[in-house]
Amino acid sequence: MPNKDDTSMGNILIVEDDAEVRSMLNDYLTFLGYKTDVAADGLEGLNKIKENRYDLVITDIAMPYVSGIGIISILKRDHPEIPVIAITGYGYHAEELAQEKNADFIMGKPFDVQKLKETVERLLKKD
Amino acid sequence: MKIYDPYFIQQKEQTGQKKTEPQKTQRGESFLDILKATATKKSDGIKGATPVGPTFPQNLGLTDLQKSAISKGQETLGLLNHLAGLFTKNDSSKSALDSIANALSHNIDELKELKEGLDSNDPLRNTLDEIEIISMVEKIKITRGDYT
Repeated sequence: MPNKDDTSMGNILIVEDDAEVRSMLNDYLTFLGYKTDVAADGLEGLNKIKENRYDLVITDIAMPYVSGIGIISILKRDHPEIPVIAITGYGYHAEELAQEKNADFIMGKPFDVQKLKETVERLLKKD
Repeated sequence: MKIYDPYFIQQKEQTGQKKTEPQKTQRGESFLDILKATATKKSDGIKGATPVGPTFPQNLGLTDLQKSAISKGQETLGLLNHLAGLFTKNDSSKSALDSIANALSHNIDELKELKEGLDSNDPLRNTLDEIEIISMVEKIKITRGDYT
């Protein structure tokens, strides 16, 4: 069982407008021992990125105000060291856009939580 | 120039006229034809949108490509605005939605093409990205039946 008080594993921001998916991601990553923060839309996500320090950002693509594509663009410009996982239920075109913006990993919905776990571990692995 | 008549289908349905070719205008052109034809001319945008082409201030220093990209972006936002209007008016018939999906699909391709010609650091790219992603999502929602 992971130690929930151990935040040294990494601080992850989850940006997702679907409350159920957001809650599921938050619960799962917290269970795995990560410190998490959540934002319900792209604008809230960008504000949190400006105010806090995260080790990883997981963002949905299609969201109100600012899309995940906007978040990835800004993150890769201002904080290229922070890895980003893009999640989308809108298929190839959305995945292609995320790839163009250099998202570190792209997952289609519904996603495999085991794959998510492995990807998060890989992206947070310190050299 | 009016390139897309958002009220045509609505008027037709309200007056109870028989719909034979729901995606054709009174002149027998499809919306895609109209979009294609206008793509080669200077556009004033779609009905309800602020015309951009001829009204750009001269001192902005925009290239022709940037102007085209802005016009296309504005035209696409007009389509999305029209889509929202259909729901407000409770007029989201399948034919009306399909017309918009076709037009959005065409515009997404054009936006993509125009974006490729812009400088990689041109801030206009981010705006076009946002328009492209919203359009793509709405097109998928229409085609997979989320609205019907």
